[in-house]
Amino acid sequence: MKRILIYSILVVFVVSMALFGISCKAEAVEEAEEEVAEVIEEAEEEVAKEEAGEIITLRLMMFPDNPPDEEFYDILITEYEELSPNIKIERESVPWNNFQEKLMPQIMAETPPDIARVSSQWGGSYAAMGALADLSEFITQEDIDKFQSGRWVTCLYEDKPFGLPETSIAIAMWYNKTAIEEAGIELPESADSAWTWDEFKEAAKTVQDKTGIEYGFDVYKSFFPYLAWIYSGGGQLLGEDLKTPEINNEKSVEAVKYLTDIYAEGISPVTTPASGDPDAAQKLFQAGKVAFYYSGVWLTSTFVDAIKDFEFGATYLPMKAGEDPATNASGENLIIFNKSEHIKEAYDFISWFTNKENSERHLGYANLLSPRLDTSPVYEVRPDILEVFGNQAAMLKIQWAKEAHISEFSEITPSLMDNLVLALTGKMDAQNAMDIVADEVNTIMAE
Amino acid sequence: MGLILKIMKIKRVNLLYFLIPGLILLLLFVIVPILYSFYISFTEFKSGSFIFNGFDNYIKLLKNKVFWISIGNTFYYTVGVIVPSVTISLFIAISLNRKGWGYTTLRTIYFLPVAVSEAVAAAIWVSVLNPEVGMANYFLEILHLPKIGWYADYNWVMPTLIMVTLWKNVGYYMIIFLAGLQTIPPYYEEAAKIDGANNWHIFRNITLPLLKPSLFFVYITSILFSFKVFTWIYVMTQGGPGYSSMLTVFYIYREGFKKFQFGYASATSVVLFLILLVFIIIQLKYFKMFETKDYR
Amino acid sequence: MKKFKLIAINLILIIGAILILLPFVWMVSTALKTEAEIGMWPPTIIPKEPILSNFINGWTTLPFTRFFINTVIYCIGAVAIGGLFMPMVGYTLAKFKFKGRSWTFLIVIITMMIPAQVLIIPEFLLIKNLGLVNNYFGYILPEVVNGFGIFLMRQFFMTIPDEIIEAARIDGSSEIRIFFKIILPVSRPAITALIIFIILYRWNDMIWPLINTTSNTMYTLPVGIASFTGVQYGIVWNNLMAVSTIIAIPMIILFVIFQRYIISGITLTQLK
Repeated sequence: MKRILIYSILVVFVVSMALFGISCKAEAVEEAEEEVAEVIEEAEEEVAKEEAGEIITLRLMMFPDNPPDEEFYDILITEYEELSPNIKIERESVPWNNFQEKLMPQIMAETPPDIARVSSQWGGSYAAMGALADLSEFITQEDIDKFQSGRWVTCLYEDKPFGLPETSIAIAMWYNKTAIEEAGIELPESADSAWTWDEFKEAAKTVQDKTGIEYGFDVYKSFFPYLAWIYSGGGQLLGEDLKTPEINNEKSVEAVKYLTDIYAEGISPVTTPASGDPDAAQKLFQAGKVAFYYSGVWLTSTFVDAIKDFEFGATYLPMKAGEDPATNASGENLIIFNKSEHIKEAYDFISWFTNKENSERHLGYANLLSPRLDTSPVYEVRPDILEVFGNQAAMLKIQWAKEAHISEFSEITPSLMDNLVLALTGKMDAQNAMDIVADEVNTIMAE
Repeated sequence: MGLILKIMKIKRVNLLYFLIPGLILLLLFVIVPILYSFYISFTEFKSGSFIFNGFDNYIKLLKNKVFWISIGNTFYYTVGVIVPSVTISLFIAISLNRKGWGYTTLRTIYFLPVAVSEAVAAAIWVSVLNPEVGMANYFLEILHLPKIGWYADYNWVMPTLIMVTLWKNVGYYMIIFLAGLQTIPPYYEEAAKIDGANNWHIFRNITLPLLKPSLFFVYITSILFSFKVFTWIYVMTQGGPGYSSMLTVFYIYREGFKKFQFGYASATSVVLFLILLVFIIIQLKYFKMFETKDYR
Repeated sequence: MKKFKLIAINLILIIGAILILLPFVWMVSTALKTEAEIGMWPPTIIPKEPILSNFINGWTTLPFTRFFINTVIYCIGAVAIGGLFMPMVGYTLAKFKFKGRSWTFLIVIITMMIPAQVLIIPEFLLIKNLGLVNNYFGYILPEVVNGFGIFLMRQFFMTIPDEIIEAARIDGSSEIRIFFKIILPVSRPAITALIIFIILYRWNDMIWPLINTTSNTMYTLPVGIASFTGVQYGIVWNNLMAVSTIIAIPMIILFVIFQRYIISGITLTQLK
């Protein structure tokens, strides 16, 4: 028995060596899976390419926002390859949670992809590492003006562009329509005329009292909504110079205190900020236990599929009396790495990908918001909700966009989140907590 | 004399055959990366390359409050996990070391948590233990018991982590003990029984000593696993609430892949490794008698 | 009295087994539910509207069949190389007295003390320099011979009486023959355990197949699953649980089959 086992292991070892040879030609394995028709088509294409010149391969590393998004990427890539027969785009889909673990070693080994689709906060960090290309020579002022300025600044490092904005992410207030109507609450009509904090708190409490719903309000545990809440109170993370911390100034701290009180009074569950599960509040909302849920537009199709027990909608975010409506500045960008050997071709692709027509088609299909000023994607799923989020996103101020995209932002967020949680769960006084964050910011800036 | 020399020569040649290929693979694919990570700990990644910065990372590290909290938590967690791990899995292995389909089924059940990956296990538990809408608290509610905060509670988070770790690993150690129990020849037990020993005596004086190598393995392995725990924290707590479940490997991950401070992260892993090394050497010295003792 | 003890122990074991099973009940229950029912309150254990489509949809959203093939290759490669060399190293550390043996053993233990997160980058640099990125060996080779396996083998080989080995030597057997004809058959439980562990590790391993590849066609099953948990905006529960259930089944079958080698190995009496 043992002998057979050992011999079979050795045989298998030899087989693996053979597979080594096969796997060296990854393309060969891929082609083996394609249908005969496609093989023939490719053969014809090859001939055409050879006549046109060399074939340039661009590696695109991305994470999908949702299945339609991924589907449309393939559609657009196929179209582009038909338009430019000498370009081939290899798309690799990487889980968002593991994106850095995949990208960092490649950057350090000096073999990054040509293009990456990233969350806007990441670009600044990569640029500070010296990994991104300078696209100044390709971009004209006309191109820049097509994008919302708040989204455009997220593609700059030291005023040099390294990519183009692709999508926008917006946050607003989801609400449990069935519960709201039962409690007789009237909702605000626009972002400017939204509730004040006090009015909102009243509304949330009323729904709790009148309908017996467990919680009046909850917040998605992430820096987007928390920072936006602070902005809605007139606070800021950093000053105009993007170096001095303002997170511990009077207004910022008051915003944190106000939110802490909402948790302390039982209007919101303390387990949400305390939990490490970012979906904690979403699960509560889907279970019908939360009246108002402060979160993002990406949940639209999830809620449409998952929520059948009650009706839901989106409305505008509250702000402190006398302050401006707030929102966050995030989205996804398509960035280019400087170790790419085909920066011009990569730029041509991302420029085409994010142009007006393709943007509209892609984002409409995938239910995502556009960073362009001249597009109006047609949304099939709950356009009423997308409209509210779009209007709220228009309230963006440049300062907020800039401060959330400095290259040190990723270094600051863990400390920000840790201390916000300590404050919101009542473990630490808000002023102390924010002072700690301010110290951390100073230390990071000094390096 | 010539015969002895001949035997020694045979030994040495075969020693090379046996040891070298495996050691080369270990050296190349494990030790070299480890050494490189030590090198990184003295650098900082800026402007596209690793720039030497001496002991800066280490100084910053040793002054960092969160790092020391994480070391404390790591020890708390490790100590909390080892004793139950070893004792429970030993108990299960001995009790289930019998033939019969009932026992086979039970062994398979205890093995199930090992069959799934840590990521999937953590995803399951984060749902089941959700303090507001999870199954666990739903059952408590039905039984009119108070809800528990589980991983969202400052006091419950560590016991929760220990509990899910035990759930996941007990089957793994059970397998090792089962295999270890097989190498104990049954005639020892039989001889002892004939001599009039009862079960407890047999266990204490025959089984346990003969299981020492397995015990040693499970003990050391559970320490090493505990020091490296990561997925549970990533999925369920993110080090929170506050810093109450901040353990060092999660801290390392966060510094490296969230804050992009790779030199600092490597330095942290070096310091963690040194602390662990001292801890392990103490264990090895304590168990030294198992290394060369002939326990027949 | 003795019988009472036996019943008590069996009762404890059964209660323990039930506790172990509960999360799996949830897992399978979720795999059978519609998306709407997963988020419902109060939660249901037996789905009101069970569906099988999660299994099919989950498996087809991504090329899981391809991932499955890759994972099988991955496991076979790791077992072929690791399963051959780790027992050899372990045996040498257990039975040969050579200078530097303690140091070698210490180094083996030390290799287990560094968390993988820190090794990702150096390992990738190494694999890239060897030209093995996006190649099966690119993820088989990292840790193919690792501290745990060597440690495990050493501990087991230590329990084999030296007299047997001496006897064989005096009979004139070469060391290699002794290893393959005498040691290995006796160590069947240990080798089985090792193989199970190697397969388990690689079947569920996400790190090396994720990091050392540059194209989706080389991904393995756990990397595919990560796509369900790594969605930027929330976990896709129904697909995740359905596919995870499917993936766990081969491992369970593996254990059920291999169990008997651990429970009924050759004892030393038969050796005599």
